[in-house]
This record gives sequence, C-alpha cells and structure tokens, in this order.
Amino acid sequence: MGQANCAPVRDLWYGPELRPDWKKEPTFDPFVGFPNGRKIRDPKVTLEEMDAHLLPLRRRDYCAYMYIKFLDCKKDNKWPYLPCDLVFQDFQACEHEDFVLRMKEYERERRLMVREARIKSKMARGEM
Amino acid sequence: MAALGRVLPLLVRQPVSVVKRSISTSPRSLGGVYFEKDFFPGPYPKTEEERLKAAKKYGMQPEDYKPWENHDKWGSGDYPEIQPIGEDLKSEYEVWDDKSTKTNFNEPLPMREYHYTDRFDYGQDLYPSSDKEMRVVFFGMIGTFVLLHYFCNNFFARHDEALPKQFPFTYEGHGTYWHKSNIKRNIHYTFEPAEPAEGSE
Repeated sequence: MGQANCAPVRDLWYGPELRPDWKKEPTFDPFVGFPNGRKIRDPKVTLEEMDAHLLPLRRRDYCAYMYIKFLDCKKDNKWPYLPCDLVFQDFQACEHEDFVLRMKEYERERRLMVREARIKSKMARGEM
Repeated sequence: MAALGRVLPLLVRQPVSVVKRSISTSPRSLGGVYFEKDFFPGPYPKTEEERLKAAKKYGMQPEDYKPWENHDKWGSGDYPEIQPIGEDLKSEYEVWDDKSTKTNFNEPLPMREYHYTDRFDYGQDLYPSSDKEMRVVFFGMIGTFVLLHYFCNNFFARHDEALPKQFPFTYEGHGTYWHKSNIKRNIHYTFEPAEPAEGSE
C-alpha cells in the first residue's frame, strides 16, 4: 500500500525520462543484458481448450492451466468444494509469480532508462 | 475519650496557615476542617456599615462586594458572589503572587472551589455549542475529507510498480466486431536463460 501511494510522488520527482509508464508495454529490446537468451513463456493450454471451458477474458493468461485444473476439481466434487481449496492456492501461487514477473519487467525497464540517461550525460560531457 | 484526644493530634496533620490564630484542637473539631468554627462566614450584612466591614474582611472593594441572593437557603451568610474562572483564562502578563495557580494572597475565591479545581479552562467552551458552530465543524470536517479525496485521487494515480499484465492471446474487437482472424498471439519472455535446442551439441 505504501509503494502504490508513493509511486506517483516518485513519478513526479524523477520524471518520464527515468520512470517507465506503468500503462505501456516495455520499449527496450527484450534480450539486452541476457547473454544466454531468454526462455519463452509457455501458456501450456491451447485456444481451443480455453474456449471449451468458456474462460472469461481475465482468466485467459499464462495461468489458465491452473485455473482449468481448479474447474475440473470443482466438476468432480460437490459444494462447498473443500478439496479444491488447495488447488485454488496453487492457482494463486501462479498468479503471484506472474505479478512478480511484471514487477521485474518494470524494474528492468527503469534500470535501462536510468542507464540510457547516464550514457547520454557522459556523451554530452565528452567522456565516451 | 481522653486517650483519643492524646492520640489523634499525632495521627491528623494540622492545616498550615500563614496567619497565626488559635484553632481549637479538641477531638470534636479535628473531625473535619470544613466545619471549623473560625472558617465559617459571618451573618448576612443588613446595614451599610456591616457591608463595609464584610467587604474589608474579604479584601474586596465595597462596590464589588455582593452577597448571594439565596443566602437564606444556602446559609452562605456574608460570603461574596464570585464567578469562577479557569486558570487558563487568567492573564499571563499579570504579576501573580502564586505563579503556578495564578492567584494572589488572600484573594477571594468562589464558594465551592472544589467544583472547579480539575478544570483549569472553566468558563471557556472548547467544543461547538451553538448551531452555527456545530454546522461549521461538521461540514468542515466532511468537506476537508472530500477535498482531500478528490485532490489525491483525481490528480494522482496510485499504481503498483509493475508493467501491464501479459496475455498470450489478444482479441481485437472483443465484445463488438469479433472474428477469429482478430486473435493475435503474443510472445513473452521469462527471466531464465534459454534452454539449448535439442540436437545442438
């Protein structure tokens, strides 16, 4: 809560040159700084499977496979679906990892912007 | 009874008075200083001469001295009518004899002093008492919160320091103009190194 409330203050203090826009996709090349490349994210379910379970739009992300496991558990059990609580916790863990990855992307974007500004100032001073 | 008279003076502390006067120390009088015969007010003054004497006794000017109207019901005698006032409302720039209580020596005190000793701001309304004051405080508080909410939520956007959520498929025209060809597949990367492809040694 404190981070979310301080974020606009930092955005104003540092400006758009040093702080990425949280509504936009990353602008830098995804492979900068990764000498061994980056693994591609695998959704593990196809579009046909997502359509078969009639998933809403917000659930059609990279954790859809966990949500489908939860729906299958609900199908096999009766209300109040007590054995499905642990399955839902696994889905929540996947969503948490997804959010952590988003935070990492933001931080990477921010550091590359700061690096760019640093390089520009060095070029202007004639040190590079 | 006589033994009690010898023991009680040791147990009960006598009140300290600046003016030396003879006070009875019999057991009956030691029960309570409130009923000390010498500390009672005199009879109600009926003539002008008695009024002047009473005013002089209490250390007041004759034009300021005024005994209580209900003296016959309360039994206050010639005790003057003094409005109680809190210590906070007395001036700080006057030279008092006792600085901590802002009183002077032999100052005439209100009759029931014990009623007001724990309120040093007696006589001052610190809370809203009139209708106008109540309305001002109420709407002032609510208006402040409303202004603060409007200012902080309309001019600043609070957000987690994270980029938008990643979806493997985007559906252009979802909800309105929708076709299978509008589905796009996005590629996203994790922060782990790429695994070497099979057969590349």
